[in-house]
Amino acid sequence: MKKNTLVRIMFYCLFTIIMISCSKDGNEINNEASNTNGKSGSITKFAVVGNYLYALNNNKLEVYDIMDKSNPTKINSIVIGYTIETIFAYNQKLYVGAADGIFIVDISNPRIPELKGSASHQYGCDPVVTKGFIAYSTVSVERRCGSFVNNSALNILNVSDDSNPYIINSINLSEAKGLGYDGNTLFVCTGETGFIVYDISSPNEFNPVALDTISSINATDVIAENGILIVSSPDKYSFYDYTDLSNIHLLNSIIKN
Amino acid sequence: MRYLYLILIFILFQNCDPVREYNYSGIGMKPVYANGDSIYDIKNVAVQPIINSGSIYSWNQYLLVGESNKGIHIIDKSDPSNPFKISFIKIIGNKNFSIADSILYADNGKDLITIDIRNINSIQVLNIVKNSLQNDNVFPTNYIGYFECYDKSKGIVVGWDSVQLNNPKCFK
Repeated sequence: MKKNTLVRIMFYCLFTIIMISCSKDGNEINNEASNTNGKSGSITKFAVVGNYLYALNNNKLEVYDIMDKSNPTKINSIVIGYTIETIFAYNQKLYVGAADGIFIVDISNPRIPELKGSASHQYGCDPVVTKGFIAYSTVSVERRCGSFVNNSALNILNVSDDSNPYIINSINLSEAKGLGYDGNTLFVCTGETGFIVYDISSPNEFNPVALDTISSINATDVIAENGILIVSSPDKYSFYDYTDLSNIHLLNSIIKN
Repeated sequence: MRYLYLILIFILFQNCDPVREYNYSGIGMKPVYANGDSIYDIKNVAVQPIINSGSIYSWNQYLLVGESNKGIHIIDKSDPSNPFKISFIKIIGNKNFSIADSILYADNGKDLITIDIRNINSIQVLNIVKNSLQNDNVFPTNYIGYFECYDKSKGIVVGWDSVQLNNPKCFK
């Protein structure tokens, strides 16, 4: 009994420490919906869907009615979890990446989001993107994320049932950062080792096929749009042409200074 | 064995309690605050060096890049072989943003700011929903150690300085 309590206390403390160190001040932001509203990288805490802005704030999802652009109003606030870091809007759902998994929030009633389900994974930082009924989520083992595991991965989840998403495949990576897709092409940043280009067309959606690896860059996040891939790095922003997937090539970079 | 448990509990509780007396004196982090009207001085300024950049957002011919706590770089990418910075939107305390219908929605650490960016070189603040993103749980990122607790009455946090602290009440 005593031992049990102790173990619980230890676990609680470790969890608290991790939680605190994992939440980020939010250096990061995104969304994948490619339209006149533009497209975000995968690392973002704000998403606009229709007349509503959804914003992650600490452990909550804040909802703003932005119908009247000169007078937006906050209309709701729901608790999701303490380690929420990224938001991705897709098909009347919000996919929220947290340090310990992903949460699915139904926004078919946009004013009253409903937390439907979650899938846990090993502890680490993790943006998520969704296509069809499959979510792709990276898990990083960066120390700042409080990770215990020693391998980063791309997790592939079946999200066809909002209430019961589950991991169906996991690809080990040297490092895992931001990710994004355009059509059937998924780009996954692997930090200092660059980024990997995957074919996620049917029937490869659960078991993505690596088409190419671009290793001459430190890649942290991407936006893939209309044949141009924007890659964020610690020291620069780079533009790649991927109109021909067998010849993805660098166009130019803006160097930080 | 019992002593080992006691030591373990002691160590863990040292770390667990976010606000307490640590009797620590030494180097730690201290919030840098901004407050008053200065935080609402939101406008286009000349292009700035990209230093501590965050999120990226592609919008029309532009790439927007967050500069943590300072604002947003605007990069013209109409020719991706020749991208260049054209302006900087100064928003003190900014970390997150999104765009819809030529409106930029951005935070400053506590407020939601609505900005008309139809002319990205001459932006117009439309509205500020004050304190709607206030968050009491503010701490230095990518850091483990002692820090001076955030006091929201002092304003918004725009950075952290490594300084000598005497008896800080926060630890992470």
